[in-house]
Amino acid sequence: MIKSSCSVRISFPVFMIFLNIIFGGKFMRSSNKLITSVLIMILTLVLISFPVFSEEFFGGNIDWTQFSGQEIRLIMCEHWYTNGLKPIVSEFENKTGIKVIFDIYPEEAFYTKVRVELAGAQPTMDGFMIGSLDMGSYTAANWLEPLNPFFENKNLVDDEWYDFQDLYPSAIDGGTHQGKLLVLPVGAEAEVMAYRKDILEEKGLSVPNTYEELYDAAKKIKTDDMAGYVSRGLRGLSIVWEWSGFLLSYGGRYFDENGNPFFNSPEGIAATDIYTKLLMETGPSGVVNYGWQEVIASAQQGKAGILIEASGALPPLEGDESVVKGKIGYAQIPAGPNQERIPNYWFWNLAMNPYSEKKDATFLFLTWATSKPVFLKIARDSGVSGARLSVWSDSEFFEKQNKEWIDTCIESMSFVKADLIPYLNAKYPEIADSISVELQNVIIGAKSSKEALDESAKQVADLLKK
Amino acid sequence: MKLNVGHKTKFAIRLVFLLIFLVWTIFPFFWMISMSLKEKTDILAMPPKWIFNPSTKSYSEALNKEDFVRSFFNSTSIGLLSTLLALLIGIPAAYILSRFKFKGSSNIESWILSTRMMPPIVIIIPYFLLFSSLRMLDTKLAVIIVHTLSGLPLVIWFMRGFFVEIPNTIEEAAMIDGCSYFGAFLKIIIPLTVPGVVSVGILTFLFSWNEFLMSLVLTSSKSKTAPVLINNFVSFQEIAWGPLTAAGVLILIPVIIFVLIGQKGLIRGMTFGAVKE
Repeated sequence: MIKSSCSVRISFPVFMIFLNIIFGGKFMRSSNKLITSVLIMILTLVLISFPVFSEEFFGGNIDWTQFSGQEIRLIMCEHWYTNGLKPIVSEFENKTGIKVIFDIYPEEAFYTKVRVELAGAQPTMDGFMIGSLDMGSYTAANWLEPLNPFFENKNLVDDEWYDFQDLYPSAIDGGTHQGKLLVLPVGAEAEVMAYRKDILEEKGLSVPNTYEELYDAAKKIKTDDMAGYVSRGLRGLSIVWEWSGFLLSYGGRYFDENGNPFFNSPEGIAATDIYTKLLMETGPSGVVNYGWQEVIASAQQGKAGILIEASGALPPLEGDESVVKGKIGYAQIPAGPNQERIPNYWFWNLAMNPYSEKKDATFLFLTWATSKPVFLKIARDSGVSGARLSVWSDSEFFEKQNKEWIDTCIESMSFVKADLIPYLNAKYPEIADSISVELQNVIIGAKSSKEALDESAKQVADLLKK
Repeated sequence: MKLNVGHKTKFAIRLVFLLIFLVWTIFPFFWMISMSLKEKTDILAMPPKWIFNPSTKSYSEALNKEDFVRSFFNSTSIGLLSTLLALLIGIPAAYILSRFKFKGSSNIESWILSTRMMPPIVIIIPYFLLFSSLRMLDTKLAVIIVHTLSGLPLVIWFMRGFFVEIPNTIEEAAMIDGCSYFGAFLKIIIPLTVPGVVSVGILTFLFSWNEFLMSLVLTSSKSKTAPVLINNFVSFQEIAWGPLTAAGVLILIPVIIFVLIGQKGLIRGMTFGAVKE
């Protein structure tokens, strides 16, 4: 399309000049037309001197066009990464000649869609997004194609251009199982605290540094119109994801050295007490229905004093939809009794379907989609960094963002202790579900933290035996 | 006089209950329509804005959403064709089951019903595999077949009930006058059961129109149905309430048209009244 319009643009002035030469200028009735045609000519040359696709997204010493004509299909989740990637996929298509079909679904539908297609063991799709939660169960089911052999093929990737070492090391660790690299990270998020600077100032409060301070501050902020502290209460991983940061920071752990459930330790109970107390006494009504979307929406509407959320979910607070734009401060999650801060984390990754029939073309796309220039483009547009260290030092990205936000994100990622969250346990989704039900029981006042966690520990022990 | 007062109170009580019921059912629709006409900032305003300047922005946004129009037509053709197929196959089957007793005929009836007892999630992977090996994924035909199959038990059981109520004497009378068995079925029995056909047709259509899980798994980019696409208005950044509700209103329209057309059949059938014993 673009090429043909270029040739039209060239041919018109060339045609005019050609006529001029033949007819010795008689063809032109006035000098105006000559000037016009020269101008058009110059303009055309300027236009065609830009390539059809911008080369900034491609590089390295490989043949990008080697799989021209193939068609690959990817199932993607609605996410800032997907939103950022979608507009530039056409660049990849133009350069490589590979047609990319993006099938995008919101979270719940996305999980169903991916699971069914993988369980079917069919070459119907070639690649897909995968979140931390599914890493264990998908690995156990052999649903993730190991990527090491592809990295060894020098026709597919130029190591120097791709710069593998630049990807978050913790994300690579989380995506490696028994020495096999199964996924490439696209987004890395950790728990971050956000607070209303104006409200804290108005009430004369300082930024909470411990969980007791957080509770006191939230209590003072709470009014009928505004919740002091907002976080997730929704069943499933939702509530457990936030709670895990409390558990770890308090010194609690999921399992002891022998792999038995250990989250009902005194530390775990103390963490659960404070988590549920915050939501019960200072949270919004109906908090057991709050997932991250509800948490962010309530903060956007100015109904939250302090919140702890995933760093990747927070940029909408500074968006045009938000009434609190510019009023938000960012800080690390509070420290536990031992001055420890261990935020929970989440990686979104790209993976390859082991049943795909176009693995090489898919690999080409996966490396391109996780390459430096693509991550830089997405970060500059969306305000969220992909899982590459170099993005944080990009000056253009830096300029657009609040410095406090960037520093907080970098620091919180460094506090992450990836192996303390059992994402690689194939039963983690069930474990999280069991804990979440009991946490909700505490929030609605049906059980004490100890009763709830003991019950859940018993269920999890049974689950692990199966 | 006393009687009259009693009537009036009865009437008043009925009216109150009807009003409550009416508000209960109409309010969500009203709310959806009003949301679809509001500007972005007014949609979630608390207290709600009852008076506002209606804007059609959400509608144009919904219609401009990639693939919305296509998914709309996908849904329409899938709904109509699967309903038609289910009726074409189901009505004769129901008639045979109601008129003839043969070996295992009562078993067949319960077997047919049993297919409705299975939760769809159980059969979703087999269906996926089946259509994948037939290279029929992401085709409308695949969804039509699945929706027809899920509609059939409903049609058969529903229509069987209607046929059982019609006495044999009617067909016998027709046959004495020279009608064939099939002719009697087509010219006498079917017209008598038009209300049944219409209501079960509406139900089958509604099922197909609203079905989510099967359509999600069997379709991809080309043949997405409206309920699957409408789900995409819930994005990462926000839930786009305006376009979401506008799309909701738009996908209500074919249903309303379909039901209105069907209603005529319902009334006509009721006044037909040939069956008297």
